[in-house]
Amino acid sequence: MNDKKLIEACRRQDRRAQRALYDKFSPHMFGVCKRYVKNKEDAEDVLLEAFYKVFTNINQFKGEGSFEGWIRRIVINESLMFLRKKHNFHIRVELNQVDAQTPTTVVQKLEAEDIMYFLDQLPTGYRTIFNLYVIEGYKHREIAELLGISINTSKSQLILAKKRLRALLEEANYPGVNVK
Amino acid sequence: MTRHNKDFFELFKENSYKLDEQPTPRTWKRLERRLDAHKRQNRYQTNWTLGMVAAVLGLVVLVGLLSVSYESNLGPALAEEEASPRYLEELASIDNEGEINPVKIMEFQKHYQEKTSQITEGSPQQKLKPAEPLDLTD
Repeated sequence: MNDKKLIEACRRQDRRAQRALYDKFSPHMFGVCKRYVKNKEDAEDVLLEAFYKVFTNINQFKGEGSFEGWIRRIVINESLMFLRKKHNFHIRVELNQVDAQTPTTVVQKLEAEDIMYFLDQLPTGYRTIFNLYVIEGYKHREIAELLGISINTSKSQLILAKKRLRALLEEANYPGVNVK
Repeated sequence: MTRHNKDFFELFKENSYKLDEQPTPRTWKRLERRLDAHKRQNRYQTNWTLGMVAAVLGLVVLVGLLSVSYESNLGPALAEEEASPRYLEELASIDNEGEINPVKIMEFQKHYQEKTSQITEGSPQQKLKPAEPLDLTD
């Protein structure tokens, strides 16, 4: 069954179609949740809540753009809502306090455990902004709106996140890491 | 941003798919329970709304029928009463009973005076005759 038929069946609250859609997208969306939410059980809670919203608001999907992108936005929003309950994103670091000139590191390969390990080492604010900017491709203006912070805070936290990640890669003496 | 910087951060993006993982079966079961509850709630809300609409429609129909039946039964009687307000006539007659009629009073006074005129004295041999009893009735 293709996505269009699957979506139509989900609009009729067909449970088999809902299961098929969940099976198709949940592994990738679970990966997205894990990048934002440290604890795996919490990530599953976020995933559940996100898919509940997907199924109960599926009529709002007008077929413009990718369905996976639509689900992904719901998952990201749900992750951010979860983080907002526990974390204050308003911690402000001035840009002039951040040393943007960090050693350049070239990594050949990153395994899943390593990605999780490095991300887990980052404070929630850095991690969230790194995810949103580097992996999802959001602009600083969009991140600032999503998190209710200033554009400068978003920029400074990203620089600090990158700096911390480089340091971690060097410390871990990661195979394939080439520090220039 | 230099070429190397881009490579480094792009690597996270490129390898993020490696985090894909099937969630535990428990997550689907919990989601299914939530969806069932949502379905039940939706059904309940739909039934409730339909029930309310049916009740309002029933009430409107009932009121309509009652008003039609009331008009058909009492309508002509009311129309007659409006043309000849009998109750007003009755009230007028009650009022007339309590009214003082000056003509009647004068007639009564005249009659009373005739009946109560002084007894004339006759000769001693003449026997006294009692006056005729007063008839005060009209």
